[in-house]
Amino acid sequence: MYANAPASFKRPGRVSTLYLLTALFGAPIAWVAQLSLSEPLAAQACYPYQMPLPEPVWQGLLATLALISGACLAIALLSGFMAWTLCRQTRAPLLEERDDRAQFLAKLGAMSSFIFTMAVLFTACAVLLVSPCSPWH
Amino acid sequence: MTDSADSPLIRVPEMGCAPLGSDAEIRLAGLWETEPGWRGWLSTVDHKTIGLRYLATAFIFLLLGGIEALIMRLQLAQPDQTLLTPEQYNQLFTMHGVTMIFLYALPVLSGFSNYLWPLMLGSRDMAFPRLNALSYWLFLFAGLFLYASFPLGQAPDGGWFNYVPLTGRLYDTGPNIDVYALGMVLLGISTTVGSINFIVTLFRLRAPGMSIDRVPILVWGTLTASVANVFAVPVVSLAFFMLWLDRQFGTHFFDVVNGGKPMLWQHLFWMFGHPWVYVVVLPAMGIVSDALPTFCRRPLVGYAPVALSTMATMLLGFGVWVHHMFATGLPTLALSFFGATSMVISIPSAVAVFAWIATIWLGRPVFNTPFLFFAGFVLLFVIGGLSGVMTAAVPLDFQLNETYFIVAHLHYVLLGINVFPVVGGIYYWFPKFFGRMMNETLGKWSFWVMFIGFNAGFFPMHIAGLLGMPRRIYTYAPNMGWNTVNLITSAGSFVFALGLLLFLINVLVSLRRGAPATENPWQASTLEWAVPSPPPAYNFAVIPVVASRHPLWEDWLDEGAGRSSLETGYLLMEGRETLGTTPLDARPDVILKMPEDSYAPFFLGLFSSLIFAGLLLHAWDFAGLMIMASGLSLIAWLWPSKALVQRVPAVKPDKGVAHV
Repeated sequence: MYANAPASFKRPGRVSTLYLLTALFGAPIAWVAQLSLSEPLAAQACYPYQMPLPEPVWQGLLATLALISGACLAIALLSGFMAWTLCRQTRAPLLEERDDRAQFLAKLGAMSSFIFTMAVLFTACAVLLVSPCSPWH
Repeated sequence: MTDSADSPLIRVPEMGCAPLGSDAEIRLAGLWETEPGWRGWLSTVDHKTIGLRYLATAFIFLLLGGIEALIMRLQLAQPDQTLLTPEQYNQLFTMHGVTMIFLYALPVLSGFSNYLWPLMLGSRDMAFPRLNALSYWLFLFAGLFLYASFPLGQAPDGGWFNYVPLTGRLYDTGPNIDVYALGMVLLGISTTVGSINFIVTLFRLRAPGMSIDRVPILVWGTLTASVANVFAVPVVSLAFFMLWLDRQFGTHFFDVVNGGKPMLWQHLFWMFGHPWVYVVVLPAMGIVSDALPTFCRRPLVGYAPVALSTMATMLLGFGVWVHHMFATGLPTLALSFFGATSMVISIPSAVAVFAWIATIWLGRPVFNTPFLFFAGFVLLFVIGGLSGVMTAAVPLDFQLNETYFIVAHLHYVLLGINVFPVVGGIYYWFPKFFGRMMNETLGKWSFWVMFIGFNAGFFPMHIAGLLGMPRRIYTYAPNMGWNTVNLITSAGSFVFALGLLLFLINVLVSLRRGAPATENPWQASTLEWAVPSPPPAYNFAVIPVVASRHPLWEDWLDEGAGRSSLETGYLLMEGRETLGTTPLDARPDVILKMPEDSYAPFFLGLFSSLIFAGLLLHAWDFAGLMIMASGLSLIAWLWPSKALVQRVPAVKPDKGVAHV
């Protein structure tokens, strides 16, 4: 079917799918996990029943949240590393060796990793800077 | 071209050309044209007709919502006005919000995307043409459903976010909220089926060679919004359905007295509501990203960053919903997570802004009317974005919550980032839609009047908010210090409306007297400008082969490894056919048999809407009857058709050689 296909259908050697998927989705998934785990824990610890509390019901709340943030940051950074590696792999000086699609996806992975690593860091800052419960309750 | 044993393409499509007036072209037109008269009007599945219907219907709703706003501004122009009663005011501001956010903002973008996607992607139609028609009919009927109770004084009146317990049976005894709840579930079906159609179309119906790094940004914007809809819309549909059950059958999802949770409503609504904000702005940003470069005479700066920022904004948009709930008493740390994300979201937004500014800066701008709207949009985007970052700070939001500052912010976002690109987009694609140019002089007048009116109308709202004016009050005392800002706001809103009126006059005049348009009057780069204006029923006589991101600028830019083939391509004319391609690389994969026109989408949409009417009126038998009628429509829709067999059973070389 593709033997005589136009040049634009042909693709040079491919990059690892696992690498690509991690580069593209690793950091976003890390951020989603961080938010999905941290918010319910923080909310439940300070507002478990009908009344808000001035202190969290679990002493280890902040340590748990810090651990979650640390793990998510590690995943995000790993994703960024893979994206950076892919960007280097897909850079080709010669036009005929270029795989625009792979290069594009590698770029997306790098940018996605950067933005969502920032999101993980910003969320982690909230854990470090803000008191867990509302002190005026 | 040869065929391999494992190719799913079975029949090998012939390559050739079919110039206007050739036998092949005439045959294609016969295959794709809709029957004239009312039969064709009700049964058409042509994406162009559906797109224009979306646009026209959405603009009618825009006018209705605009008139509601003007009546409210008359009421608020001076203190102690008695033009409206409090109940009338409640219904007006609720219907204004519902209309603008649900019946105008997304449907108008669906109109653009429905019309433009197959043309931009090099296809002959959307992936599911009948689903496309159903999506439109459901939208129309949901709009009529929501408006039907308005003349009876029973329209939704709890604000567009419809907080419980105010909207529970105890405090709102009429049918007002039931209309809203059922109407939103109905509209949700329309949005969901439309979104699925867009997603499949992007991944399967791109022209050969249009790999994922070559699709226009508008396509990225609508794709992102569609994926978000698939996740967000079920949440709000469920919330409204639960509220309806509370109100009609005494369940206690949101009933405080019986252990229900009002906060559950807020969470469900805003889990949908905030992503929805991005759903109604990202495709509009895509319009600017695609059209602005045409007037800057250069490609968009940072295609990949803009595409990525579109998707990142949407995903982050799912993690900010609690910033609408900062004043609800949730624990501080839980709030701060959402404040943090609300600030991070400014990074991808800023990427897009800098890309547009750089495109203007590095290009050679031509100051046509569309350019003015797009450049104006960039400024309004920055203002609306900055006030958004301000309200992302929890302590500041405590002060600004429920004031006119928030009203100013959301109007800068929704009008600035939606209406301005949409009007600019109409000026830009009008020649393609109707084969005529719009009047430039009137266009420039409409821009400046709209721009000045918009800023005069909405910027003072920030000040009103800082002066402590709460939103949703139907009047105020003369000694509050809000008189001047309200008067200026009201005057500005009428100037803005005048600008919009000038635009509509321009549309009507240009439809009749506009200068005839060539196929590419702006010298643009994307595929839709390769077909005649207006496009023929079949879109492309041959399915083109694409070799770069800017198929019509290749000679000039000298980019890519080869040249796109627009005159010679895949001839597919054994019935209504188009080419299915692989999701990432857009390699030819399958010949898709496209359905004929059908009444089934119209009747399914009609009967489905009547089910909801039956539920609203407690006419259970009637609702049951309509369920059966909907079932029959579905059977008619899905009845096996020989013409729709997607893969031809045996290898069969295409007949004929010369389709010229």
